[in-house]
Amino acid sequence: MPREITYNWLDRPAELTAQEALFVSRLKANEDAAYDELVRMYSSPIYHVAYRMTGDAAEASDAVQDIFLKVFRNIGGFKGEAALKTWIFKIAFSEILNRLRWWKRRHRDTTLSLDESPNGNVPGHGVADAGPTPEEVLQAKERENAIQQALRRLSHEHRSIIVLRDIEGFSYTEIADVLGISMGTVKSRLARARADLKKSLMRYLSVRYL
Amino acid sequence: MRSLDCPSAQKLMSAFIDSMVTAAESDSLEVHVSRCQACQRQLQSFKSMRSLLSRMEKPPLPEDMVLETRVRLSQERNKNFRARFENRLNYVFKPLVIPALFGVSLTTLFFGILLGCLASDNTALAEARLEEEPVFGLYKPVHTTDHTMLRFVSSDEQNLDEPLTIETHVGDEGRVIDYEVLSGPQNPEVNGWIHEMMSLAQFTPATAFGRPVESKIILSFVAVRN
Repeated sequence: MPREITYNWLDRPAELTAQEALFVSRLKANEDAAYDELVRMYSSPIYHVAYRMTGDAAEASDAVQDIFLKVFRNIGGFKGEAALKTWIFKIAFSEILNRLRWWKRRHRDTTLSLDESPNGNVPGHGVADAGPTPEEVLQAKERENAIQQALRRLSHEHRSIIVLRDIEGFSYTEIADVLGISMGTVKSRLARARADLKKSLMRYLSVRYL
Repeated sequence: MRSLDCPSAQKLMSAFIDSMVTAAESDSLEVHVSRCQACQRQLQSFKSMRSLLSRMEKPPLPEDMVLETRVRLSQERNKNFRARFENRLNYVFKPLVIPALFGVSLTTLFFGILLGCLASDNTALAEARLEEEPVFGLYKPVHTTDHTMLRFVSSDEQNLDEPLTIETHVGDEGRVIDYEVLSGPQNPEVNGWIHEMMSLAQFTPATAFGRPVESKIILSFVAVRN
């Protein structure tokens, strides 16, 4: 039975590489170019995670800015026990989950209209794009919204692990580092989260009968 | 190989699609799903969901988000300018402190020993030379041992009622070039013998760095009576 594992950062080592150590020392030295590089490298993946977690573009954008400020304030205490990426995402998740808890305490639901993606179009399908038909665009939009709604119905814990593993492609080790849980917990929590999510997305899943 | 029941098989499915099961667990599950259509559908739906999620479009970044992030970060970093400066100093100088201290100590020690060695002979020699020829000895003033002037002034013909002071300009050959009577008796007789005395007087000229040079000398004559 073929296995398809093609995740971006799946098998990267969790330790700090020599190149990263040099980069961290540049950040600690408050080098302008290093911070530019940091923002360039991480703003996009952090935003994607924040957007999937909050479902709100403005909230995700604010979170990204606060996350980078926290990275700057805490870089002096980074000892290199983990890879820079997992350390940054640990800060990111702490910030994002705090924001979600804050919203929950005030009984305020997200204001994102799930009929529209952040820029009003389905991501990646511009008007001038001659590829997909209008029907396909509509289906993609509907599917995207359904996934985002299904994610919102998950608990924060389950949503975090699904976003990290199935959307952003983090390895189990990285997830354990980011969320501060054991590998066993990663496995069991991911299995429960997937089972929950599958119930909501059943109509979008193609099941071939072998 | 252990045969699996459906609940056990379903528990393994999540880890299985991520290749996070052991070889034995993988084989058991594969055997089970090949015989159980329900579990086969379950596994298929797990894979389909993972594929669906991984194919989700990345939401486009809001305009200016990166720029705003850079600006806020820059403001925050500049807020702590002093801390930043100290941090940079630490970063640059900390690794240099020990080598620098070592270098300074070694240099001090080296020069200490070197000066000690040089002081032994040469310093004594220099001291003796200074005693003999002080620093200002590079210039020697004009002087004379010529008796001509003594003979003139001690002559009974001269009657110096008041002290006579003459500023004399002596050339580099020791002869008087010019003179001026600063004080003393002013009469043609005295002026005559002063002129004669100055014409005959012979000086040892002043020297600068060993070479004779022009100079001035003040001559003073006082009559001493018994």
